[in-house]
Amino acid sequence: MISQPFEYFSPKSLREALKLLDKFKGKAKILAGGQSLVPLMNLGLATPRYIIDINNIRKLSNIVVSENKVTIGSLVRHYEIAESKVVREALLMLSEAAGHIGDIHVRNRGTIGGAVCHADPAGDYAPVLTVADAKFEILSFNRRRLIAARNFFKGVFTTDLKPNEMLAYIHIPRVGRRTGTAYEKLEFVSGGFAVVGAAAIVSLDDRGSVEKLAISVGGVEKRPITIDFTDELSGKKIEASTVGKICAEVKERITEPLSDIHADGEYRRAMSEVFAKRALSKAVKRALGGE
Amino acid sequence: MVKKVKVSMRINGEKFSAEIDSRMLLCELIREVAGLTGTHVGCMTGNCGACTILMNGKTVKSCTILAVQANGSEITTIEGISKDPVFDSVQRAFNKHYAVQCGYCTPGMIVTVYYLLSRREVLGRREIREYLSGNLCRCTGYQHIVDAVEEVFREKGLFREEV
Repeated sequence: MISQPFEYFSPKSLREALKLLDKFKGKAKILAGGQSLVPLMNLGLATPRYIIDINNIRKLSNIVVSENKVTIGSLVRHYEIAESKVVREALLMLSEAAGHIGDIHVRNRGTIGGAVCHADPAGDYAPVLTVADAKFEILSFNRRRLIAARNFFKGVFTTDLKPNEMLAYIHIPRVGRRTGTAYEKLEFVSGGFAVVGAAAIVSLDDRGSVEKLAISVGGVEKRPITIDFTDELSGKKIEASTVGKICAEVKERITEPLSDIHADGEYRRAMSEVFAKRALSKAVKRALGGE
Repeated sequence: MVKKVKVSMRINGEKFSAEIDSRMLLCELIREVAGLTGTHVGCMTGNCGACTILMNGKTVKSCTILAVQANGSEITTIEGISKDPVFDSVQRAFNKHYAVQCGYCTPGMIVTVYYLLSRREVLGRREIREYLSGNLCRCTGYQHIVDAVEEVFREKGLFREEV
């Protein structure tokens, strides 16, 4: 049994949840899938005095497609994102990333909101959402704000969330018709955390020239390393040497790689180039209509 | 003075209610309050899968769920699954292939296999291995377990040969 006593709430509405969060801010934790929080509580590493279980707030469980974006509620489970036809069509790399998380049991229960707010530097969603220019809709009792994914992830288990705020929705802009995305992950154990997780997005115009090209690599530093090559390559065609040059640049940008029991920093740095290349090559192929 | 919470749910088809500490985990409720000790507890950190059960038809690791979160849900444990006809094929295959040694991971494995069968998805050997990756075994080295699961899937016409 968990040792720290806590009071448990299970609000039925977003409003009720936000009210509780405001009341108990700092001492309360949102409980969604619980795949990170409950183990941490079992270990005594997390000791919230109040638990706000949001699993009954239906509003947060939807995937909504609109003309210019796809909106994913924070309570949507990893398996739903992996299997969703809508998400696969709108942003294939997001489904790929979701399918790589943990194992089937974790994916049945874990949520995108929980994973994102937990902000493990090796998390699979962070580089994908960052490179896709996703915007996070964050709510508190009195306020609603939007923040770009790239500004949300601040460091190891650290995000821009204030103690009385919760992540409600993730908005992902629709991509152009000739867009390819891919997520490639280096993991030592099936479903393990990413030693390196590379996400790439390539959009081409009707002539096959670059309209957008960006790469984000997670698992290597405290937060994803993201480079947008759009300005540099706009209007140009992708040559045989382009992919190699871009990925070498990605490796150059890594200055403080993490070292831990899974891998040392230099290995992570070296592998970022390798996996960025895999992701980018796949994204290019998909943009060109192959695969 | 710890406040108790009331929970009620169905476990293996039967109504079940209790008044518990909000800190109690679902695996603890199942084992200690409901007395169903087929579900095992291993790591308490959601890694080993020994505590795998079905909640509303989907596998979950019951050590990652607060008992109070199961309020209003349908819980199926290995005891419930053992009453399902398909269990016989799984048990036979596990026996035939020596897929059980100490037996600690076995209930979790079988709940997972049952869930995979219920999805009626055709699987190859590699996919079976990936789908079982949430259930750790320290005894068998997995080969025998995968062989057993492969046999069950073949029997049900759900196995895909891979080159």
